[in-house]
Amino acid sequence: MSENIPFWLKKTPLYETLKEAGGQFVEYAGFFMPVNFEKGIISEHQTTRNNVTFFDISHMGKIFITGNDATKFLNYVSTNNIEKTKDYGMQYQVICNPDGGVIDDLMAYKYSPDKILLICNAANTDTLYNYLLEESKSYEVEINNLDDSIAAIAVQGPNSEKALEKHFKLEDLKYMEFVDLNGFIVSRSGYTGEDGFEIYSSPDKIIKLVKDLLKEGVDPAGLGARDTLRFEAGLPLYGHEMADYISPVQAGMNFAIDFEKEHFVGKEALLKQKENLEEKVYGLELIDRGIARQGHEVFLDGKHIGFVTSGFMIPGTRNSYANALLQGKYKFGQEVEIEIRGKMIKAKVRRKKYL
Amino acid sequence: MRYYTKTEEWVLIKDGLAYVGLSEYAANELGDIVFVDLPRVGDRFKKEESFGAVESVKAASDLYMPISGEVYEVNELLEDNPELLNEDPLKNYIIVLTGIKEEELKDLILK
Repeated sequence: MSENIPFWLKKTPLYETLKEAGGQFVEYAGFFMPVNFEKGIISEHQTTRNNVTFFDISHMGKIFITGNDATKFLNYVSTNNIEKTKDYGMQYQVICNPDGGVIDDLMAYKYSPDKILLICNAANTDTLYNYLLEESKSYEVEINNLDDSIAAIAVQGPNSEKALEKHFKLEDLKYMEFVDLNGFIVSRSGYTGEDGFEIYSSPDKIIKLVKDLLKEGVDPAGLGARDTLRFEAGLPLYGHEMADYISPVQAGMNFAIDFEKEHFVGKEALLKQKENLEEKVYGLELIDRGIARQGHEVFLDGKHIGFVTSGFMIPGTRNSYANALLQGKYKFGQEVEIEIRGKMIKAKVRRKKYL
Repeated sequence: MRYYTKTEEWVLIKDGLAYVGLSEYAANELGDIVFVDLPRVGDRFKKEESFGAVESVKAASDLYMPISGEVYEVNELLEDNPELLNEDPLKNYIIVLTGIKEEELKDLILK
């Protein structure tokens, strides 16, 4: 095991604690993050589905938008409509460029119409922060990148409320809402398709909480399981199902776009795509044995029709699925082929939620 | 005695056949192995050519021929039980080769 952390990588405040807990660390989005722990991805995936695990999510970007125009500004740069969310509610947002390509997707925590916290992808935090600074010049808002001052974990799984009951009283907290509790921000949310909570606070408070959870028998989980869980639950990952070359319309995220809004960045391009969708992310179920990975090409009757954006054999099963950006319109059940290491592997089109 | 490639395959010669498998180091590094992409019996590959792949949950890793040869047997147990490569990578070979030239072993690492 190499202990030489490349100098350009950041560690989260939980690094030492998670290293001691058996984390295997890899480079991810400029951070040195645990990809899995001693029990492995399969165990972490299954334990999240049928019990509870926790993930370090301190690497996620945290950007505050405050000021009289916070709502107006967010509604201008984002596809969704934050006015439809009440105070202490959350809303999923996509930030597009004028062509409809995605700059980032994120979760907005609305404290009030003039105070909104954005939790964004680690790899995009700087880009998004600079973009928001630039775009907000004519708005009465302040943009703050909180970056390293906050640590965070996600506690995920059907037993997550129970696992946290010694620490927080959460039975009244509803899905996609958050509370301020003794110096913690706790939301009922996550990225696994399970019930769960995301908890933010100062590094020392989060480290203490993590040490308690470990003592109480809650298994840690890493980025590996986070990816397989979100994939199985049909949730997109930036750089895979959504990117500067895959719009939210193509990704099938129309629920996060409010076309009723008079104007927002990317509206015209997205509207055009919605009316005439030429490319879309589909789910695929592999019929032949194999595992499709990002970049594998997809064919129909020998004709190239697209490429895989994510693919996994669901941990603990032999079921192999992939998401793929395909040109044209396809019905569920349509047979296609995926080229994997020179072999054509049969697959059929299906919905992209595999739970 | 086993010979190892730089790409972490091992090869063991027995009765004129070459048993090829994955090193313990590689099996550990990959983590949970969930799929082994096996060649077909009769396929011929040159030394250092890719003959298949092992896949963990996260990623695929190509397998390379330690020596040239023809696939005489594939370990079909791995089709349904790929985790055998994690459990005992030295006992659970991946393929067996015939038509080998032992002098091709000389640049491999003897352990």
